[in-house]
Order: sequence, then structure tokens, then C-alpha cells
Amino acid sequence: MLAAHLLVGALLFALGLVGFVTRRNLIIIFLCTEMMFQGIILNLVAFGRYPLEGPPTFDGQVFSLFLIAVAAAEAALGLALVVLLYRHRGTLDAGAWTTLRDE
Amino acid sequence: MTAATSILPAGLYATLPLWPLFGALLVGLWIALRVKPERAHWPVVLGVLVSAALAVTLFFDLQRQYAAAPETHAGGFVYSVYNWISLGQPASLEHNQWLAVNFYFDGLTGVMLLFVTVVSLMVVLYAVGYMRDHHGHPERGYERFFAFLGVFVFSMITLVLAGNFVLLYLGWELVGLCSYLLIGFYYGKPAAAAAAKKAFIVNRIGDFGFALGIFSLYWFLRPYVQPGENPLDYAVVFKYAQHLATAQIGGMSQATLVSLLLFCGAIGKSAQFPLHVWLPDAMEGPTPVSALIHAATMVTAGVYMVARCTPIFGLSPLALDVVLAVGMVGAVLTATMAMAQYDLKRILAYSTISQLAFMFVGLGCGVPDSAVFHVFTHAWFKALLFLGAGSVMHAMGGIIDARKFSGLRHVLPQTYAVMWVGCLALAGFPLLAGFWSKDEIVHAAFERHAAVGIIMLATAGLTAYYTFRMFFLCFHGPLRLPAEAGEHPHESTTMIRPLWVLAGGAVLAGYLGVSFGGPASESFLAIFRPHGLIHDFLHHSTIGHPEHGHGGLWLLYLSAGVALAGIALAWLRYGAAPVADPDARALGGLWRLWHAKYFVDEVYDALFVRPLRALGRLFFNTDNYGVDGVIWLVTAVPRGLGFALHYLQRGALQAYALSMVIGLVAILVLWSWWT
Repeated sequence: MLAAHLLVGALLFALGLVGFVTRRNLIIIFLCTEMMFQGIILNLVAFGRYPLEGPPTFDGQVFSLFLIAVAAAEAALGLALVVLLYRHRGTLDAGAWTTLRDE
Repeated sequence: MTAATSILPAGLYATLPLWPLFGALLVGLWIALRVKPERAHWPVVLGVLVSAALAVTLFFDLQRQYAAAPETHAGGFVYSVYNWISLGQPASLEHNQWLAVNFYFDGLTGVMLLFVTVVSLMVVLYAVGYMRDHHGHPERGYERFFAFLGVFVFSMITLVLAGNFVLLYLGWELVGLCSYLLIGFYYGKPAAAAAAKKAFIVNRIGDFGFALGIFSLYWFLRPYVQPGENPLDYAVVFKYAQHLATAQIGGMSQATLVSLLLFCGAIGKSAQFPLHVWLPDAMEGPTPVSALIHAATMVTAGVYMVARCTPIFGLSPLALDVVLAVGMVGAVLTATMAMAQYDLKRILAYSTISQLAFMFVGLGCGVPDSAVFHVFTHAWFKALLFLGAGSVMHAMGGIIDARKFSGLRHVLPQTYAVMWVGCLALAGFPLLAGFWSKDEIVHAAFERHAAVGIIMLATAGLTAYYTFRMFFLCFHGPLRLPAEAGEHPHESTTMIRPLWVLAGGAVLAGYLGVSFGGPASESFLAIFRPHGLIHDFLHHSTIGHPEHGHGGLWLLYLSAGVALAGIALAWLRYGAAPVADPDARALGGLWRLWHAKYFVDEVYDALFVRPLRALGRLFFNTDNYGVDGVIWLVTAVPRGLGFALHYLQRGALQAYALSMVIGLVAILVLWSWWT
């Protein structure tokens, strides 16, 4: 059962990663990071439910709750940043923001 | 001299150098406090005044001593200020050998101090008027000028008073420094900055020999000096100098070696051939500096030093011959150079070198007292001539080229009058200062060899000729003024007053060196007998009592005739101040050679300056491209890497993410392959 859970988590992470690298829209990119988060959280829950040795614990689920709280805070901050960036350039294209390059 | 009969205590005479130094320090404070410069000359004027008063008192004091004991030809007295540097580790302190700061008072210092301080005072007073514009406002650097002058007078008195060779060397270098600072007073002017550097560097060449001379003196005399005696004190050196005559080194006597090395210093300081090239360029400094440092006082330090070291030079006939030869060559060369110049101050500079060469001829002929007598008279009239030229320059708005003006007697009547006196004295006109001293040297030259005498007499004739050529070109003929002179050129009263004092000196200074009472029935000049007060005075010094008779009447009349002939010839050719120079046409190539100063500067440029500069450029390039190149290569490695990698920093978020993913995958693959 552990393998199935891990497989789903890995799939979620991989999809998020591919989306992060390939999509141009800032909000989509942001959603992709959230998807990678979910993949990792699923891993934690799976390892809590099916530990490699000993009885199952709630550690993984507690960890997951913390991560979800942090992710929510981060989502609020991130979306606010995206709104600000949109106000500056009037576009959501990630390619519009390359000001940190070496001239 | 004993304390009972001296007018002032010896300790007070020992403060002689300090007053101008205090003055200079006060002016420095003046500058620091940003007080207005209008009165910045006062501390230095007062300092030099006190020194001059002390020097005059000292002269009379010594004179009284010597008159009381005319037969003792011993030197003077030494005033030890403090022990400076210990030269040994003795068993007990009183047997230690020291380099002391001590002052040597004798006839020679008395004579030197007399004219050094009084001429300095006149020049400082003159400078109060000279260093201002036509509205009486001090020019920029007024305070700095007087501070330097104060330091110079301090240094010159230290040089003259020094009681040992190291203190002499100290004063020697200090006057050199002041000379450098004052030639480069207008440091914004490239010519002045270059002239200052030239003076300093050329003097270094001579001073190198001088320093070696002092070292070898110490080295040679060390075995003889007893515990408790300071090995470089004049008194000690001259006491044991006899040993130098017999000991040999490198095929000559030690006395010859030491004398020649010391003479190197004199050649540099007194601007003798072949190191004369710095003095004409030194005229870039303000005129009072030219008058004081480069005519009356500092440049005579070489003559003073050789006269002071008579007990050493006297031991070596070869060294005296070298002194004589250098003097003769220099006298003739520079007198002819002066014949073909137009710059008033440069003519006077060449004349100064020529007159200094006369003094060296006197020294080389074994009559140092006559040489110092000529130093004494020359100081008055040459300072007068320079300051007169400065008065012309001031009135002409900085123009000093004799081709650009003439007939100045109409606008500068007082300058004209004092210049008459100065020119006559330099030309050796009978009864004026230069006549008496020059005649003695010419006589000594005749006694040495007839050819030497004839050459010196001819040079004296040339001197009269070029002096009056300059004089007539400036002051006679129709009135012509350069545009820079403005509408109404005039002379300043502040500047003229010291000139009259110096003119008095130029007339009367010679009478300190002659005595009266000859048979008046024979002829007028027979009243005067050579060797007066100055000579008696100088015999009470390290100079001793040189053997020389006097030339008698025929020489007095002959040299008077030569001087008058020179003046008359100058009047015939230049009396109307012709615009086209008659000599330039008549003498042709020879005149051009003189005008170009025998191309000495050009030869030095080709022989020394350019090779040295090429060597410098070689070293510079080795450093710049060789050493720095290696370092550049080392720094090029990180710079190149950075340049190659900077293309990766594109600022694109997703490109970074992709490269992170690729890197992460690569690490994972490598890791799994590893394990």
C-alpha cells in the first residue's frame, strides 16, 4: 500500500514540477508549486500510516497540518506578490520579469 | 678671546642663527592662524636685524681682540652648544668622542657673518616692496616667501658658524634646500619647477663628493685623534692635518684625495664649470632670491669652505692646481657666455659664476685671504646689481629682456644711479670695491704664472665690457618700453632705500681691505697699500698668514686701464643702445656659440639626461609590462571564468528552475550509480 501512496505523491510532485518549468502564467506557476507541496504532504501522511518499522503514528498527519498552515500563509503572500507584479507590468507572463540578470 | 674683554658674552653670539629661525617660525604661525599677510614680513625683518646687529658687534669685538694681539695668528674660539652624537664607547665620559653642535668664531666667520647678515637684511627689506603688485598688495605666497628667507638666513649663518664638518654639511644642505624652495617659489610655472629640480640634482652631484670627502677625512684622521677630542672638529682636523700630506692612497697623498673630494662640493655649490649649469636657470626664482642666495651668500659657500680648509688644501699642490684650473676655465667660459645674453638676470648670473671663478683662482694661487676679500666686496655690488635688475623688472611688468626696452634712465632715475655704482664696482673701476679685491687676485695670478695673470686680466676686461653692454642697453639710448610696463612705469621707494645702502657698500667695502699711507708724492694710487683690516682679520683664522707681496703700482694702473678700456669699448658699441646687436654681426659664429652657452646644456642633455631617461623608461616598461603583465595574467583567470559564466545569469525564473531540476536529477543519477 505504501508504494501506491508514494507513487501518487511522486506523480503529483512531477506534474507540479513540469508545470512549474513549462507554464508562463504566474498564477499557474504558483498553483504548480502548491501541487508539488501536496505530493510531499501525501508522502508524509503515507509514511505516518505505513511506517517502515513499528506501529503507525500520527506524526505524519501532524506534520502535514503544519505544512498546510504554512502553505496557506505562503499562498496568501504569494498571490499578493503576483497582484503587485501584475500592477507593474500589466501582464502575468513570467518572462516579463528578468531584471535580475547580469547585464 | 677672553670673556673679560668681549663686548657681549659668547653665549649671546651663539644665538646668531636662531633669530631669523624664530622669525620664520612666527611667520609659519601667522599662516596657520590665517592672519592677513600684509605685515607677515615683520618677524623675519626683526630676526635678521637682531642677527645683523650681533654680527656687527662680533666683528668689532674680534677686531679689538686682534688689534690687541696682532702677532698671534691663532684662530678664534669655539662655543660648544651641546654634544650631539657619540662616536665611541669610552671608559669614562670625559674621554668620549662626540659630534658636537659647536660654533667656531674667528676672523673668517667674522667677515662672512658681517656681509651675510647685512646683505640679508637689505634684501629682506627690498623684498617687502618687491613681492607686491603695483597697488601695494602682497602677492600670493608672500608669507611663505618670508618664512623661507628666514630659514635661509638661519641655514647660512649655521653654515658659516659651524665648528665641525658635519654641522657644516648640515648648513650646506639646508641652504641647498632653501635654494630649491625659493627657485621653485612660483611652482605653478613649469620653468621654475624644472629649474628648482635642476639646481637640486646638480648640487647632489657635487655634494656626493663633499660627503665622501668628509667620510675620508674621518677615516684617515681616526688613528691620530686622542680620546676626548672630537674627530671632525675644525680645530682637531687641522691639528692633525699634517699626517695627510705624507700618507699615500691610490698614488696620491691623502691630502690630495680629501681636497679634491671636498672641492667637488665647492664646484656644485658655487656653480663652477662643469657644474655651473644650474645657476643661470635658478634665475627663475624671485629677484631678491637671486640677489641673496644666488649671488651674494649661498654660492660663496664653496669659496668659504675651501678657504676654511686651507690647512688641508695647502698640503696638496696638485689640488690647488685643480682649483686654479677649474677657476680659470670657468672664469673665461662664463665671462664670454655673459657677452652674448640679453636676459639681465642671466647676464648677472654668468657674471656671478665668473666672479666666483676669480675667487677660486685666488684660492688656487694660495691667497685665500684675497679670495675671501673678493667674496666680501662681490656680495655688496652683486646684490646691488641683482636688486637693481629686479627694480627694472618690477617697473617693466616682469619683462627682463634687454632687447625689449632701452633709455630707462628717463623713467627710473634712482635705479639708474645705483646701477652706475654697481656696474662700475663690478667692472673694476678704480677706487670702487671690486677694483681692490680683483686686483689682488690678478696679482696673485701673475705671481703664479704670467699666462694665468694675462688670462685673468683679459677676463677682467671682458667683465667690464659685458657689464656695461648690459647697462647701456637698458638705460641709455632712446626711451623704449614694453607693453607690459603700463602707462607710467615707476620705481618703488621701499625697494630703492636698501639699494642705496648696498651702493654705499659697493663703494666703501673695498677700503676694509686696503690701508693708507703710501708715498702720495709718487702718484695718486700710491697712497693706497694693499692688505688692510680684512686681511689682518682673516689671518686670525684657519687661513693663517699666506705669503704674498703686492703687485705695486704698475698692476693697479694696468687693471684700471683694462677696466676703463672695457667700459669705453662698451660705450662705443652700445652707448646708443642699438636695436641690432653690433657684436652679433661682428663676431658671427663665435657670438652664436657664446649665445648658446657653448652648448653645454645640450651636451649634458645628450650625454646624461637622455640616456638616464631612456634607462628610466626601460625600467618603467619592465615594471609596467613585465611585472604588471604577470599579475595581469593571474587576475585574468577568474575574470575570464566570470565572463564566460555571466551569460548563464539571465534573470529568467523558469530557466533557473529547469537547471536546478537537471542538476538534481544528475546528482540523483550519479548517486544511485555510485551506490
